[in-house]
Amino acid sequence: MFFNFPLHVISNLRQTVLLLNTVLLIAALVVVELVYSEVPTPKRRELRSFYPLFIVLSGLLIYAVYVQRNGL
Amino acid sequence: MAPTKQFATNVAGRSRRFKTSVGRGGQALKPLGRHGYIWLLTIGLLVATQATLIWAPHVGIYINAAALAGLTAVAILQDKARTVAISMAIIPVATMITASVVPHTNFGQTTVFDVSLLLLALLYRYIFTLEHPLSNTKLSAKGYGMLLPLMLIVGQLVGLIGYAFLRNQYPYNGYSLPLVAVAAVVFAFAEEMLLRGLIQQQGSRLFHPAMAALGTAILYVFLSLDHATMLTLPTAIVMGCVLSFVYYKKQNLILTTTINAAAKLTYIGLVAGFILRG
Repeated sequence: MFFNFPLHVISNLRQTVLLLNTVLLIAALVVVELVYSEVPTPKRRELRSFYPLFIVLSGLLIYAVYVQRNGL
Repeated sequence: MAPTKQFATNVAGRSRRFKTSVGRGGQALKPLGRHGYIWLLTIGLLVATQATLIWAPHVGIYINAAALAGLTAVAILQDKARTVAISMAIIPVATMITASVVPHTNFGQTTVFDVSLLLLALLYRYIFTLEHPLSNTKLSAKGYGMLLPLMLIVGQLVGLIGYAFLRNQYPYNGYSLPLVAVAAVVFAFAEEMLLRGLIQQQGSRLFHPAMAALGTAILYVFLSLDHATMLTLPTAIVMGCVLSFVYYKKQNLILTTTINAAAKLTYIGLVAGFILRG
């Protein structure tokens, strides 16, 4: 009936998720750099589609830093 | 034309007709080519993610990250499948957001998850329709007048089925009913905006619309499953199939959102009237 968020042991996994997020963000940026560095400028407009994902992942990275600094 | 050559041409033509068949409105359908396999792969990735998240969260969270990486890779490497892959990547991203923020209650988790889905889906729907505006999604006033009441009835029937199976599994105990009712409408809007408005719609542009509808229904079922009870399964199957079928036929989000919201509100109303009060 409702979307069910399935992580019932969620609090134990937060550190793992934040770490995975950082790894994914770096990996995605590296792949995008490798794929698009030799692509002509007009075709690079395709990259706009990825901006929201990168913004969200960057936001989570900032949140991870905040969590680490404050010992949450 | 030489008889042998003509025979070869006829066979090739028949073979092509057999492979493509004829679809809705007499349009020739695309065969299950590379994009069809990409569609199956991406659906499979997300289904595997949800299944492992439900039954083995410690493994599922890695599969979720792998699914996000895989979908991003498909989006980077496959031009034509980019929009579908990015639309699907919203689900693992919303999972990461929810798992990072750690809401303490079921209601909080669903709210964070669905609001993340909604915001990203709205943003991407706007981005994707900048260059390719949607067409044929609006109905006339008469069409709405005829179909909206029908959709309300369909939604109430689905809500009744949900109540029959899940009357003892109400997930939002302890919250005020008006709050849950408003949230249910937002949840319905988020679900429809992502699954029908983005994934099914972008999928229909790549291959057979019926396959896009089937894939979206499967996704809906796995997103709705609960680790505590398998009684969510029949309701999710009915709801997923009904919503995907209506969007497949009408390509109209208002109709599917009406069914979804009506089903949720009927379920909440019946639980409030017969279970919580009792």
